[in-house]
Amino acid sequence: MEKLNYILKRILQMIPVFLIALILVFALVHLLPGDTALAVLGAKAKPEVIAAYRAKMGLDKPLIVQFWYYVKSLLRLDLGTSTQYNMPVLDLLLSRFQVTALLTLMATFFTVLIGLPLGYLAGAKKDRAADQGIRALALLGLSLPTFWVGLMLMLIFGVRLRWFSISGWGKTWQDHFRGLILPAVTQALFAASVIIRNVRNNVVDVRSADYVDYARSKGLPPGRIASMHILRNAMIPTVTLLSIRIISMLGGTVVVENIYSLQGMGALLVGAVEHRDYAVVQGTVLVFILLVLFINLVTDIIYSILDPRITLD
Amino acid sequence: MENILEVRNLKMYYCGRRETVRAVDDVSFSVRAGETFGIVGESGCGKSTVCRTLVQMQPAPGKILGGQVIYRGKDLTSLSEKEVRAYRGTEIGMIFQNPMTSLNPVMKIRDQIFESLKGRGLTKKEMLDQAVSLLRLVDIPDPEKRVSEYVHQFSGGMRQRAMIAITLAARPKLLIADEPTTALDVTIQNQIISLIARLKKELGMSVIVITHDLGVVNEMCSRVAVMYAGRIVETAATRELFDSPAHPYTKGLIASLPRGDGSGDSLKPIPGAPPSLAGEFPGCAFADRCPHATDRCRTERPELRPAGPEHFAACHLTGGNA
Repeated sequence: MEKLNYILKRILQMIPVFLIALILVFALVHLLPGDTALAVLGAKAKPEVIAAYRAKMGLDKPLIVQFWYYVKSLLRLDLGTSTQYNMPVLDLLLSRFQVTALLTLMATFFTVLIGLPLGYLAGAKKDRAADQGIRALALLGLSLPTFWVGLMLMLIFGVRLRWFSISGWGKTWQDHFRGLILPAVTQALFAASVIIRNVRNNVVDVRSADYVDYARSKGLPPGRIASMHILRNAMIPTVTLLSIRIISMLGGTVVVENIYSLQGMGALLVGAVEHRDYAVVQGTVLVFILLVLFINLVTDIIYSILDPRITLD
Repeated sequence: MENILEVRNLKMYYCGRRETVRAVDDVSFSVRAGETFGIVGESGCGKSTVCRTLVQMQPAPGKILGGQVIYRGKDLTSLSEKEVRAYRGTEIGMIFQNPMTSLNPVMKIRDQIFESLKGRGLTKKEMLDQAVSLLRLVDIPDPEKRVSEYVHQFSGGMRQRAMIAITLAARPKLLIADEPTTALDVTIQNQIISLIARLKKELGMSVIVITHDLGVVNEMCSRVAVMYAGRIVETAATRELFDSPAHPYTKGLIASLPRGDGSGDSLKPIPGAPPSLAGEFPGCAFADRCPHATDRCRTERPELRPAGPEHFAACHLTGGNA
């Protein structure tokens, strides 16, 4: 009951954040230099045509009124029409969303899969060979630029070894997974390196905590001490860090989707900016914002489960 | 009375790359079944380390280099890590100094008690009943509700009680209380002391109390060992120790206590500081601070020798003019 209350409060707190984001998204496009009508109709369009277009799109109204129109259409789930693809932005986003969502999910999965065990191992073997090796790897992972890692993985596993496809994401679910493994790993390498270092340091701290000593004095088996007493406590700060990494991986899709020619929202956003497809820019950014809010909510919920000391006040 | 524990010539050194620290240096003592035995000494004298070494829980890079720990006829130093684990908790239980940090903050008290109850074939319901009655045993009010709470919802004294309940859940026959009252308010200290004394009697345990506080020794212990620089310098029945201390260090400790008789005499601290335990010193560890030290004290290590009925002291001058 208390937990449900907490979650509800978190959701309510998000409303003002979302409203501010909405204003920023709207302002972003309307304060940009360059005239939408000109961009759509071309520089050679006649003034009457431009004026007619502006009247039709409501561009001649004051900004506040335009914002109201914008919110009203959002409530009808009308995100406008893409000038580039000539189709409703909502349909466009829906078709692109799954690529980015699946890519980010897989990248998160790999981040945890690599980061948690290696970080734990390094912390448990502090200053020993395993720790030194893992720390060196993590430093390497942090130092390599994502686009370079992407290209190298592509070259080795896609071109040389032909294990994975290097562009597009096919038709079946198997194709999707095969197509997304390399870009997901590309994204995960950096994030996992961050997680490794964090988990390692937390494990080092927690291992010397009195309660771990006390747990040993109870005669508990090492596996139980590792899971319930060390890892449970060491993971709490990592959850926050992981959620920050996931959010920044969402941003990273802009790069990675372009390297691997994936038709996701990152690639969509880049294309839309290039073509001044404002409705698409607005729509994509809005979805990204919703995703970030959603990830934050999930993080808070996980956090409140992991750490009973967390309450809202 | 038979001994539940006999420690014979136990040596535990920290073997670092550059130096060896003699944290526990040839320590012998015994604990009788049903008694409360005190180990007293200042910080860093090795009193906690001795007790951790009993169940091979000495901090890294500590190594047991000699001696025996005979617990009910079995030498615990000869056991593997896995074998000795069977003795931790269920045979020899511990409570730690700092109740604020010694309990897991993300586990309910209930679940920390369940860990000690596992392997006894109880159902969930029975375990919960046990947990509640354990909290009741240590005088935690409203145990049905509190058993499902977390540590941060407990005050310091209540945490110490909860830790005692968790340790007792495994029904240890020997309880090691490592500075059980040091982190607590004075009013709470007395409650915890009488709680441990009561539980000892009710459950028929033997207890080792580790403390720097002679007042705690006086209240709880039937016999006591005084440790200094990794060695035991004197051991005696508590009354005997207070009435006729034989080792100059013990005398110094007792003299440094406030008299509490309003005489206004100032406290008498022992001058100097304990020696570093790194490296070897051939003589008496206390020689440099001892007002009576002779050349022999600096070159020859004194053994524990009788200084009265069941009273031993490691001092060359015992029985002489010391």
